[in-house]
Amino acid sequence: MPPVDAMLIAEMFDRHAAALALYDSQWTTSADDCVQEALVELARQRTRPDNPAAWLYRVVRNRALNALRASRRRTAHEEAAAARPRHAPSDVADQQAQIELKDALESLEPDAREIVVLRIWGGLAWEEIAAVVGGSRSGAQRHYVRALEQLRHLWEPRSCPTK
Amino acid sequence: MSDEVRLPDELAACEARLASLAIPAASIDRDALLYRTGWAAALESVAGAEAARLAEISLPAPRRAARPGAGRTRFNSATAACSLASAALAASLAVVATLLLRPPHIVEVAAQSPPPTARPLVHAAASPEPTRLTAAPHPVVRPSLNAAAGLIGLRRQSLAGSLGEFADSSSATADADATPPKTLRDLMGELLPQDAARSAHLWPWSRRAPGETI
Repeated sequence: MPPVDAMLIAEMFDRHAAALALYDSQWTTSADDCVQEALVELARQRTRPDNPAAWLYRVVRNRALNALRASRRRTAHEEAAAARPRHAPSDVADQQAQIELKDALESLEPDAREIVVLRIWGGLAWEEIAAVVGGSRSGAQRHYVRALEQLRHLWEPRSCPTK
Repeated sequence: MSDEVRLPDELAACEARLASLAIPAASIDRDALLYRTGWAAALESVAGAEAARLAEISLPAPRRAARPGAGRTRFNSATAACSLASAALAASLAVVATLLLRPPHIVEVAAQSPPPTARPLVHAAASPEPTRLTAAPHPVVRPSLNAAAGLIGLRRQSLAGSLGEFADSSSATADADATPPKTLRDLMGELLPQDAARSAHLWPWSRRAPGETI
């Protein structure tokens, strides 16, 4: 197994940093920090994981859940300070797209939202998704189809085709 | 992708629309992150090398063990037997060589004529065997304290030389004045032969305690 090198870290960052942050933002408000820690953790590995992307999503998920448990013990003032947006999108179109994305993801169930992010923006296979979320492949597919049907009902009056 | 799910057209359209939405870019400094990951990797490699070195030092396990435990047992039994045999052979050779090279222990004492004024302290036995020095019987005359005489009478006896002990000590004092006092080394040189005097080069078992046997 080849070792982890800087090229792999850079590749993972360029391809998955945004998706990892989006994936982490389901649970925490400090997604960037969690993504950075996951990439540093990948750099510490002596051997390259079989699937570095799936490995990163699993590490980010574990860290996010740990941070979520820790944040529940914090005061409301600290949570409000951490929830402030740090980087507002510059373009109006980007703002509209991100609002739409935010609304779409918030309309989904937590399990379905996680699988949608892993599938669409993470690009993971069903086996890898099942390994990350700790379920079966068929269960992950069922959650995914149900999430798409939910989104279709959300977007049906506007653009999604109807039966 | 081989694990694609067959989606209806309407769901596939929703999937395509969802995928077309741009996700917000991560606000992470790329250069700073790569610098940090490089440091982390370097520290981990150094720590790993150090741990491997310590493991090799502390755990010299055999690498060609056929199964767990087999190699270790063979290593222990063979090495222990070889070590014991080597140690026993070396000890035997050392003992044999020592016994063969051991010089005969014969101590001869050269008889010296005692000084004319000094009383002989030792007498050499006339025998071919190694000389054994014995103390000569010497009647000790104790000064008797007479109650009638008292200390004044004792003093007179001492001045007259009638007391043996005091007379000997006075003569010994006179001898000491005639000859310079000898050191312990000089006395050992007179009493012991030349070979025995070099006790520093003797084997430990050849040494005798002073006064035991000469």
